[in-house]
Amino acid sequence: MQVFKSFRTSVLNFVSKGLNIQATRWTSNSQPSEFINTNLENGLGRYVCQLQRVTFKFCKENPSSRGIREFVENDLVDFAKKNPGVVVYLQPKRHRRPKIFAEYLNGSNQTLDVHQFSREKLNKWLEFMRTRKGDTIVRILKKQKTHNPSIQGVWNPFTNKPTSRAVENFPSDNLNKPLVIEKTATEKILELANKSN
Amino acid sequence: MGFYEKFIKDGAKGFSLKGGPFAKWRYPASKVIYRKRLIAGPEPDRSRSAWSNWNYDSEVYAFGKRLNENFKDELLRQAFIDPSYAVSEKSKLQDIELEFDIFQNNANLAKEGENICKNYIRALLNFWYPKLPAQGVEAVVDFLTNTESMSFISKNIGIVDLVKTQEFPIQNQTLQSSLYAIIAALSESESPIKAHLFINDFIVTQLVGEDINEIWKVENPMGLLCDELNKSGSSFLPKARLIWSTGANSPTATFVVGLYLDEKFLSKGSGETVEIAEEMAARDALKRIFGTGEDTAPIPFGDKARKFSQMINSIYEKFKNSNI
Repeated sequence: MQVFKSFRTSVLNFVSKGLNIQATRWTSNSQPSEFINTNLENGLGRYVCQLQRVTFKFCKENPSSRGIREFVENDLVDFAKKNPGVVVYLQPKRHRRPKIFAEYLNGSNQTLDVHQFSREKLNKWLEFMRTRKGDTIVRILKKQKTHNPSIQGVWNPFTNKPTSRAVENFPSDNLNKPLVIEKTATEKILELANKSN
Repeated sequence: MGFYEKFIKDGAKGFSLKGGPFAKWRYPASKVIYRKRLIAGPEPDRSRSAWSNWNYDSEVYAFGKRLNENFKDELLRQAFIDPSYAVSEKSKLQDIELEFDIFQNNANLAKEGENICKNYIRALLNFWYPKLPAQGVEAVVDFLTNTESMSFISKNIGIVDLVKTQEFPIQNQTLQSSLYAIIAALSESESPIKAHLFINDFIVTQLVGEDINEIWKVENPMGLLCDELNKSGSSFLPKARLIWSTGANSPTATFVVGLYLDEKFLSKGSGETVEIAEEMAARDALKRIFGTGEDTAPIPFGDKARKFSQMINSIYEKFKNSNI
């Protein structure tokens, strides 16, 4: 219960990075957000895995890094073979917390404390890191983006209007009448009657 | 004086720093560290190779594999060596009496790569926009091979960690020349067409979302239009006629002017005054003549573009021979 109380106070003291005010509530509007984008139009030409290198830091003895040790013994070589474009470094650090440090092509990093993580959990996290672009995780404003929003041209008040309207003198007899005049029901019945006769 | 400042001054005299993430001493300690960091200033910028988890051989191997290319190892390493580094390394190794070849640098490769790059982009633009004149093609080539944009590409591919230079932080010129050198290395390692596809995937994609008419700034569109019409052999000059106008005496006036060639519609443009509208109509006419308007399809990339690589290569060969 005590731990929960102090977490609540730290939320209230949060200072929004986007706006220089203290956010009173954790709303999506008070947090930074961005449109979806790619690194150098990745995928348009060819797909380049954005993960540049991964560093595994772990203790060789402590039980909390058992999961990462099992991963290194069993799954690491397969990962390295499948992703030859990702450089893998191993840094055994005695009596330190086990961590994964991922570096991306756009210069950003991600550290993950893998204290007491199981081998399967690590695999999933590594897959997440491998498929990331490397930007800060913020709310995405729109999940679509196009550089050619208009194909036929944006509508303006003169689109599809006959140019004879430009030289029209108002009040005009042509434009006084309604555009579409449908036949009334009476007229239709009279027509039918005339036809049959 | 705060809790932690007293601790720093007097030392650990009976104080216990146990507690975990919500311990009492953490908040004043972090305040002190923040103030000290502000006084000390930011960490100095270091190149990635300064940290212990760095292996140049693996990084170079991974660079080639990441881009899905088979580079020749010597050429790739040579492409990363800047001439300034070669000179400094030679002098360093001379003291230890070891040999170092100064000519193992990327100066020649960079020149070669620049020629390949520019000629390929010219060939590509000639293929997709055949009616665009040489002026326009050069403007787009300059835009794509700009130092800024080339260095931005280098930084986002992973070249910035691998380039060996004397100075740090690495200048944009160096990054641009190393990217050119890599293109030349790829062309020599595999084939010129592979280098073309590399340029297509990384450099020409910077055209996505860009309008060629914004890149190539024409000062006198009506004059250029008349020149183009004369060249194409038409004996008529365009006549400007007012098509639409609204709010003529208001601050938000709109005039739409159309250009007519031999009483046939050529183009139209709109503007706040009649002169602006006429200029915009001339620009629209140029777009229609050169084929760079909104209605032309954007250049395809990726697998869709691969089938055109042979045709573009034949145009590239003509450019290459003419330049030499």
